[in-house]
Amino acid sequence: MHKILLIAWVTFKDSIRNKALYGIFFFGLVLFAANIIITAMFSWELGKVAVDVGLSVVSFAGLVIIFFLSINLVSNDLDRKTIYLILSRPVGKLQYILGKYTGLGLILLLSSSVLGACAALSVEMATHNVKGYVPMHFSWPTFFLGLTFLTLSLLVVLAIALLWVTVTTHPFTALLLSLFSYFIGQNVETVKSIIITSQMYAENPMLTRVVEYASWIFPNLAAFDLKTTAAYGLSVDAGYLMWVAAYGFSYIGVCLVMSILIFQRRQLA
Amino acid sequence: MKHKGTVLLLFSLGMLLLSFSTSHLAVKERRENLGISYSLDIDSFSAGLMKVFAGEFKGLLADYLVLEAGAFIGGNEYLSEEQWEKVALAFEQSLRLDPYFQQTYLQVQGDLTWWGEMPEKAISLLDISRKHRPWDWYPGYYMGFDHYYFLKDYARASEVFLDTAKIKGAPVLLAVLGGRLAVKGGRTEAAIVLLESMLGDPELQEADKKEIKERMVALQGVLVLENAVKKYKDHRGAYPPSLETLVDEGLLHQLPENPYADHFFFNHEDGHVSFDEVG
Repeated sequence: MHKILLIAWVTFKDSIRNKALYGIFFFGLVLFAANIIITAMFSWELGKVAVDVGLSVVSFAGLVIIFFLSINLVSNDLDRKTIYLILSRPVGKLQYILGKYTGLGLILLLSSSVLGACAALSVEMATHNVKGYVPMHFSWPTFFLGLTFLTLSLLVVLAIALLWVTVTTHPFTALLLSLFSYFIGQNVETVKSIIITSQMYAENPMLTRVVEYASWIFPNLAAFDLKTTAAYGLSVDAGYLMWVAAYGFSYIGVCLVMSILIFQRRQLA
Repeated sequence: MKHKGTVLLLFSLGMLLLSFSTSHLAVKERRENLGISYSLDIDSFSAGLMKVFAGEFKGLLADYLVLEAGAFIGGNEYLSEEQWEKVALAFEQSLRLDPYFQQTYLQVQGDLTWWGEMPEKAISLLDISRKHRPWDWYPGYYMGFDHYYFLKDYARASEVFLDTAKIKGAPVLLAVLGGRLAVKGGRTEAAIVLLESMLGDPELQEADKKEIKERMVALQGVLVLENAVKKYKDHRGAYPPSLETLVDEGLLHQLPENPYADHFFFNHEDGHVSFDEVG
């Protein structure tokens, strides 16, 4: 456990030193300033627009961190053979994977916390003088619930990205596969419902089966998306949230175990 | 040789400056017309497909579509039928991506009905908002209004108004209006039942209760008279010349009281009974 935390801490420090991270944070802050301008373009339910923009920026920044920072960080370890420096010490591959994931996960948590706070601030600023234009049921607990599940979905994407890195070891291929998985994960539910309800695909059971299999392989990221719920303060079932959380953590667990298994079989020399 | 090179460079500079000035003026002229020729780049994607492309950013895309449609309407002096179809599509896509957004349905009502002359389309889009915003009486109110004003479908207008009146916080006027249109649309009995159920609401204000009771009395009077008129017509093959005839012929002991006037109004040509002159 100590070694995992040590690698996590090193990864965290390594990421913090990365200038790209500052670029991402700066971009996020600029967008929050833009949130006030964008919101002013609307006439009704300005609060909804502010939450939409705010949480989307948190999500977008998190995805940029995963796709352009995290994947590179781990792939470079393998690609540039710097991993030998770590593995030559008494550190196992299991500890390496778990440590990397924890470190990068901490970066995501930091990003979501900082940008989430900025998002909340920008929502407050954008709607401060127009309280009548905030959706009737909007509440801050629901907003932060949306932020929490958004972060969980980012952690799921990070786990799947780490899995692809261990499978391919090449940063660009891992990036493509991760983007592909993210896209499918976001849409598999919608595509499935289109195929089931559309007459066009009624006579193509093969397609239905393929989508069904995909829904088991790729994470259903739409389930974590509570942005609309947060924007309008819609009621959400506690049981549903618990199941979604369990689903997310299980998926992360499965990805990490698979990453460890693949990584352990990999010949690094 | 050096002199020749400088001349060539100066000549090139002159040609480029000429080309730049011409193109700059052309661009400027075209940009000035931007407001009039502003286009709406809404592709005919189905709403489901839009969802696939938008992924978790569907809320943002919905906001963008509404903004784009609004800017398009505002940036053009006249829109063709085809362009209105595009605006309607943008609103539909936006509502499919985010069926809760108030701005979308308000723009649908403001633009598609009055300017786009597409009340049926507006009603179908408002219905999406109505289903997703059960706490909000406005979409139902607009739907009822469109049925009444644009489509002259009084029965459906009354149905929607009365249904919307049940929403907590909805003005009692909706129930009263729904009751009035029910008479025009031949749904008097249904309106009475609905108003009666509304009276059971413990949170109803005394003034609202009084208004609903009055409307119920008026509707009950209309119902009694309608039934008597129908009996008269079945018997005599024509409508009675006046409501008093119903009493004279023994079909009623006396005429019911109208809380809004000193008598009920009757059109002996089509047999229509109402509690106000507008009918």
